[in-house]
Amino acid sequence: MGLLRVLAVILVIGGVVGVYYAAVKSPMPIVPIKDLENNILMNYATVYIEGIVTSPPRVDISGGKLRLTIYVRDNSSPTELPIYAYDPLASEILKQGVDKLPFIGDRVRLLIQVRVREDYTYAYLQDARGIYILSRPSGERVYVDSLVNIAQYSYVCSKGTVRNPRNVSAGLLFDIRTATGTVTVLVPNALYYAYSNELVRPIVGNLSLPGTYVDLCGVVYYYRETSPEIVVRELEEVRLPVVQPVLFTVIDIRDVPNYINKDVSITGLFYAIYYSAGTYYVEIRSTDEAFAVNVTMSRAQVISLLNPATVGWKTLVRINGTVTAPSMLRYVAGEILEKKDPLTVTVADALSHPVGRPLRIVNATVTSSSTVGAGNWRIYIRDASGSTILVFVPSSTVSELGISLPQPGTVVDVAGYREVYGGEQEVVVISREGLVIRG
Amino acid sequence: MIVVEYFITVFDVILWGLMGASLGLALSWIPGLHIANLMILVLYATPLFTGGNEYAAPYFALGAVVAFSFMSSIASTYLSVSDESMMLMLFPSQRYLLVGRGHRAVLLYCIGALIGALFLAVFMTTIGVVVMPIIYNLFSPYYWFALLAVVLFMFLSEWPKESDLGRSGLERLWLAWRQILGGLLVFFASGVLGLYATYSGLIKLEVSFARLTPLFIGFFGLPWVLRNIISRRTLPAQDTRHVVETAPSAVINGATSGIIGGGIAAFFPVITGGMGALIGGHMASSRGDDAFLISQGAARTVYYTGALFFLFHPTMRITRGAVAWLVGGLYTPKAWIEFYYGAALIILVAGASLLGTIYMSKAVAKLLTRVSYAKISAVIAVFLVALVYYLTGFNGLILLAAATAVGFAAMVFNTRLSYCLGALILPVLLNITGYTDEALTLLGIR
Repeated sequence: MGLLRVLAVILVIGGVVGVYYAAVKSPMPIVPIKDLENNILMNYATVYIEGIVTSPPRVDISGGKLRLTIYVRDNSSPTELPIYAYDPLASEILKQGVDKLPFIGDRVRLLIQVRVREDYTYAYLQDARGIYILSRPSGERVYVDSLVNIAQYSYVCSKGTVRNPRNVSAGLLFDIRTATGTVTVLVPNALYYAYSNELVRPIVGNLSLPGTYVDLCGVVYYYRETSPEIVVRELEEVRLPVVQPVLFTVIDIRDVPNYINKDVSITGLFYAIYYSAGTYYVEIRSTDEAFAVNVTMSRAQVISLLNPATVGWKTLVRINGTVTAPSMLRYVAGEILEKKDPLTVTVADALSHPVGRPLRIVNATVTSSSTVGAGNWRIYIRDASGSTILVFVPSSTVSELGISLPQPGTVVDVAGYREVYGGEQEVVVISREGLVIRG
Repeated sequence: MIVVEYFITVFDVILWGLMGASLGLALSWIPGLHIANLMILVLYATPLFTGGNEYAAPYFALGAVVAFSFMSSIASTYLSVSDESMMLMLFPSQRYLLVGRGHRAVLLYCIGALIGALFLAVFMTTIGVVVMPIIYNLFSPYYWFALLAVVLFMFLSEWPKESDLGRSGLERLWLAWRQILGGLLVFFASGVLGLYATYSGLIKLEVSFARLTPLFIGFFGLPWVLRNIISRRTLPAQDTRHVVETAPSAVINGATSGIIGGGIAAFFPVITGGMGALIGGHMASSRGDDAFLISQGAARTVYYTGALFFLFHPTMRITRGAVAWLVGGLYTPKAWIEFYYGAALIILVAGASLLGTIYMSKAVAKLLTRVSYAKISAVIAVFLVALVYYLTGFNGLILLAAATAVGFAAMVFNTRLSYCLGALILPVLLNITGYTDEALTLLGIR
């Protein structure tokens, strides 16, 4: 019997070694999702799949345990495969941070174990090292004001003020009021677990406050295939103002003189833009146009909210800011309430409009052009009205245009504000959208 | 005739159930043919019998499983024979066989199985309707603690034996721990094979569900059959009269421990009938071979049938066991009437299986004393190997060989065969404790 026991141990070891050699020569295959669906013989199969993560990762508590859920689709089937990871695997994945977390738009290879039910198929992630992120949406920071016509899984950025924040099962959902539109944003709750509390709390806290100015990037997701939203992938992609959020008292624009040094929120019409010594003064008028205040803004703030190329004269806006003088506000945040298209005029008309008026001239022909000073452009244009006007493009705008100086004969569209400089009538272009070459 | 949703009639249920039972009775006497393996054959056969009607699958499977619960006693009694030198270490059924009372062992087993089936049907359709969903919600977050506790209990209950037989201290130490160490070897070797079968491409994807088939046949079937061939044993003449020697108290005690054990095994994932019966036996403090055999019958019936019957419960919505997963992929009963049909079918098939098993036992007992036991075992061995090859290909045979070595080790170390379930338990334990990564790296398949 003793010999039999020795023989048994040898056979067991030999058997395991034999299986080892057979197993290492039989790597786990990558299987199309179609082959898994509704195939009960694939129940409990452990396989690799490769595909695109189609929605934001979601974390919830199921059966008393943390559960991470993702959905993956490949080219073989129109159906998404739900894939779950329960604790401790879910926590292990989240602990490794966003680099290991399959995110919407990622192309992934996952080691899963399949479960096939009567009417649906799902799977369980097997281990953290069985997650391979093959590629993920990325690129330069392309800013958008709305998500209309932007493809799913695009990597985009947006900035504006937070509106209507609400907690949903998938995370924190809010809108960003951009210069010309609204962008919906989701901070998925999986990020709450992938980052430390010290990092998550202040960011989510700020994003939960209406009126917070935010600049963020993420991946475009079409919720229920119809409603586009940006899904924040990394908290590092969320930039918040360094100042603490403040509460703005909503007042009538006429009451501004009574709120010196106070933070107020006013509503009025976008009326004019002036520039002096590095600061832009945007004139906001009451809706009856009888009372005006000037809002001091930086160039970036003007372009972000009131770009003359996209936002028209008498557009209704809300401005949050600090009252610094009886008719002066320092801009903090703003939003478009009722947008008007840019005021489109002929050159002859433009000449008759007062200084500061935002307007647009289309199909004008360059008659002469030159570069002056530190890279500023002076371009004379004429249109069918027969009049000529100078278009001044400051170097800050020139550097963003990415084109060379338009030569005489070039047909252009111009958008900016009216100005008189050195006695000469001109239109000043302050955004790259303000000078468009037609041909 | 009552016509219900999904066009299922009483006649359909009886027909499908009895067809499943017939198939189960025809196949379940073969050693090593675990219910999961049997179900794959049943699954292949179902469309032939039911014309591809998916609503038939649960009843067809239920009939086959109840039949298996009864008829598998033939294999464990008659076809896993040891020799007299092992008399004190054998299961009661084998001891009965070696003294010519194999048929009585089957009868005792069947008493337990019948009580288990009746209890299951009555309990589930009365108290269970209310109680089971509550129990499910109560325990579901703690399944894995129960599994861990059961594994620990299995090892702890193997108290060091034979420690007084050695001549030196070292020898006594070895003798005392020999069986436990053998158990650990079997458990971890099985676990490693389970990991290879689960986490590599060894088994063809098309038959992933059969990935454990080579292992189960290797652990539980082939070693015994090979032993029968090698030892060239002959059996003593068997007493095939329908007589049992037991007492009402032993019946009650055995059935109670079996129902508790089977219930635990059916309810908690991964815990099997053998493990459940071990716990049930301790809880009911079972004593005596007759009580043991009755408890085995009750435990296996409640375990196998109960796990599948949970699938019929319209409000529990749990899937337990390989059979339920297979059937659930085709059709899951949804209406209460289907649940009650299932309960009635359990009783009907239990009665039919009782008769079938008793007469099969009688036939096998006579056959084994007339025909060469070694030849019958050889035929079975060829069938098992062919089945593995047919289902899983050449790699399946490699797994089968390794698993047979492990089953052989369990035999010569005289450890519990249930340690072979390490093939199921170890991967699950690694998964729930988060160590699968490390294990797979260690095994060279990551």
